Amino acid sequence: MIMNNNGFTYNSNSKLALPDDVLLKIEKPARYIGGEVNSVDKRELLENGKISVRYAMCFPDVYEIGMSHLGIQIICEQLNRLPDVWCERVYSPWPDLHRVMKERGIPLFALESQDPVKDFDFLGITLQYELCYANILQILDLAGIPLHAADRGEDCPIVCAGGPCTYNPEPLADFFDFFYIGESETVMNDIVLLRRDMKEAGKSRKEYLRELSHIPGMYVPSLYDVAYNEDGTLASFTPKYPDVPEKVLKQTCMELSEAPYPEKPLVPYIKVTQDRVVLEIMRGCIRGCRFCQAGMLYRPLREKSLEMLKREADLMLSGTGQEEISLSSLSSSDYSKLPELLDYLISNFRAKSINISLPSLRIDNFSLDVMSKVQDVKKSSLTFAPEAGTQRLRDVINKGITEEDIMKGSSAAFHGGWNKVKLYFMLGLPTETEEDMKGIAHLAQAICDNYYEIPKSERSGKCEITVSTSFFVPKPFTPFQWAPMYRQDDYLARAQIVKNEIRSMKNQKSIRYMWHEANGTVLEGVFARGDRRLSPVIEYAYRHGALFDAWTDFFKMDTWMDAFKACGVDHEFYTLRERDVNELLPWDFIDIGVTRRFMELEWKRAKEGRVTPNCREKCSGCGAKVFGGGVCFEERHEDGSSVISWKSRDEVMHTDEEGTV
Amino acid sequence: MKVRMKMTKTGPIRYVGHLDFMRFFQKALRRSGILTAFSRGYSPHMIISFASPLGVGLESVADYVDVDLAYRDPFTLSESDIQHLKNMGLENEELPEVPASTVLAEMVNREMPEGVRVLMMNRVGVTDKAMALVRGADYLVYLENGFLSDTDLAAAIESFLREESILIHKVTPKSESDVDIRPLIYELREAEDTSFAPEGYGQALFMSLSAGSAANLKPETVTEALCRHINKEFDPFALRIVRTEMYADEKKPFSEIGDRF
Repeated sequence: MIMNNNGFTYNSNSKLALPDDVLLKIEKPARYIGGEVNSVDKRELLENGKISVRYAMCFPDVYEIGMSHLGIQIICEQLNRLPDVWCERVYSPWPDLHRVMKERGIPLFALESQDPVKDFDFLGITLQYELCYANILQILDLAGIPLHAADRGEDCPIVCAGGPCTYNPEPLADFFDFFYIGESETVMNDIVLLRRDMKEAGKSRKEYLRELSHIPGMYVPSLYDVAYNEDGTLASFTPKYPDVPEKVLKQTCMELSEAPYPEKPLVPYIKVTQDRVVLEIMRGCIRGCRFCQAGMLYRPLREKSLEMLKREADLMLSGTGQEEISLSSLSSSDYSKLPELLDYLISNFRAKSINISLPSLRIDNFSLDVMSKVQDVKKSSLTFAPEAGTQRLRDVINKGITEEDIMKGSSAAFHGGWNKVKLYFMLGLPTETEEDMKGIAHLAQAICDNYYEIPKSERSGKCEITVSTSFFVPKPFTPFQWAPMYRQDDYLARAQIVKNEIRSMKNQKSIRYMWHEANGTVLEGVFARGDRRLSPVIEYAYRHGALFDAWTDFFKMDTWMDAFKACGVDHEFYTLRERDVNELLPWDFIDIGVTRRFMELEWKRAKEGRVTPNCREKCSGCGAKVFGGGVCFEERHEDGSSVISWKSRDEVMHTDEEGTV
Repeated sequence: MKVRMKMTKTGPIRYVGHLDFMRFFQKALRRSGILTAFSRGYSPHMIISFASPLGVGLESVADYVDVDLAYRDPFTLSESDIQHLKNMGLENEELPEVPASTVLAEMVNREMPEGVRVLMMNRVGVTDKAMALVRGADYLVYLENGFLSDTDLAAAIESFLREESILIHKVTPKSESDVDIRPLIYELREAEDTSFAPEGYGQALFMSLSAGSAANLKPETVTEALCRHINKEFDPFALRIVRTEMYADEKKPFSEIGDRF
């Protein structure tokens, strides 16, 4: 850096991993330059030999998606609080840069130091969705790390993974040294410091992994043997050594209010998907929807204290200069001190022109009042997620909302001045019939009728209803983990039925229908419940051009079909059959607290169309009580219900486009 | 009160495009704690305008941005200034006293990454719009070692500037035409002081060119035309361009416009 005589600093030589001509040729070069506000720079410590562990934390998708992920920021915050650890970030290079890096042999680098990932001690990859699996191999490939864990030498980072897809890590077993099953706040520091200590003691990676397997929640796939039956199902899954645990226990953080949270989140230079401050208000969910993996994995519901949330909101907004704050949880209305929290946010931040976004709120007079304070009623839309078109199917999935609830909610919203409603549904749910599909159209029409019952003078124009459907994919650790899926054509036929029925409705012009492509659905389903025999398929597909499969523009089903064929794997084995409850499932070695017995019972109740009460209504003995906290230990009335108020059959709405509940 | 800030944008942040940089700049203002004015409505926004967007990859040591602040304007207000405040729901007399410009600049600079520095700020009237004023700009164009290194630059420039007209072929989505850029080149010479050239770059050209909405001439276009003049191959990736000043009418640098405070 040179100060010239005009008094300005001209910093021309900051180190960037990519040369100027590359940065000028690629799309959005700012994705790769690092140096964002609040990013952690420990270069000086590194140069003085004060850093003993370097950790590269990777989200295997493009920068704008990865930067929107809260989990990585929590982990970076947590690890960087350790004085001798430097945790940096890595995202997937976009295909344009991918080509250049391959051509010129430029190794993958971490953003903060711009140093090659290959030189790090750890490469941690978060697995948020199945369609990123090819991108994981891109990361390893560009980093110059052997794809197979078995081929890695002492000079390679330890490659590990965490996140929702690690609850069935088997399709990726060949590529990872270990999987971290659980929340980072629990034993993440231990595993990093163990590596430091063992490295200093001259221990090998093999010795480290063996020792690591003794830490609860750590799964080292190379330490287990797998055998299959003749029909292709799993016969056995056993540790190779007596000291390696048979069951891997998911690690759950029970003191969220004391856990590290990014008080100064990163401020990206370019617009990212979630370009706002995200305040996580609680983890877990009391609702128990049977299709929802998050609702089972993150049990029990654990709330953060109101005082902490207020403090975090202040710090995060003043530390970033962001113009919007969003509450994050699976069902915000279930947060026991929501009115107090919203009061605080509105009275402190509205005057500063800060937007407050409130996803996943229940529609009632309280929330409508709040909403009208924070958004322009005329422009915004309300989103309902009934998930299924008939009461029968809503009972099957335990989304215990009645049509009456939906009508009451939408009616309140219409009277409040809203005239735009979005409805989210899933197609392909277990036991779904044509009547259920058509029920989606009928529900949309009923909401229209509801609107036009309001006297014309009190209405604000036409009502606009948007119906969106996505295709259901059964996930491990849900009561639907045994359910069959369908073929791609079948999914599209279902969407067609909905479309035709909507077109035959009286107010069809007020109803817009959108459905997701079925392309990725089948592949997602294969990986979600797959086993170790899928690793070669992923490798074949990557080597033949699969990349960014979560992006419709890049997804190439043919490449994947070729890969299944070349590897002799029948993908329909993983999707079409209904699994027997006695079958050994590839993820059965993981213990998430919620028991298999509970899941089996829920599967049975689903088929009988019986609903199960939520955790505050009545404990159903799912097993999550073993964690010793959260909603399981709230004070109860004599009838077993929580003293914290709840509504059992009520609609959930949210106010912008992000995610369904 | 409306102020015009002069600032730098150098180093890696040159890869952040104009729109992203604007958003980034607004967040920095929020963090800084300086009081900015907001438009009214459901999604109020800051009132900010850059004099001239800088292309991706270009650096500047004299970028200008107009920002409306929520401080009491100590200078005489025009009718438009008063009306403007009214539109934002503000009353000049009720606003807090404005700190010295150096204090405000320091507040902003604390929130800026390496390479972005507010060098000064002046108060301007609301009708004084930076973007509309731009007429010219100075640039330093560094040449990568190896590119044109065997060329006598001084001689090349001298013969280049002797041309009465220098035609370049301009293709836009709507039309194709030949444009004479010679009258848009106010000054072109070999830069004497290249002491702070980026690593890997040696020689540099200094050029003062027409800029703004009427006729905007890019330094890379001039360099390309110069290459063509001396029959050398042009390499767009062998340049590193720094904008060093911007001018309103009659070569008046932007920094001389407005009131000091």
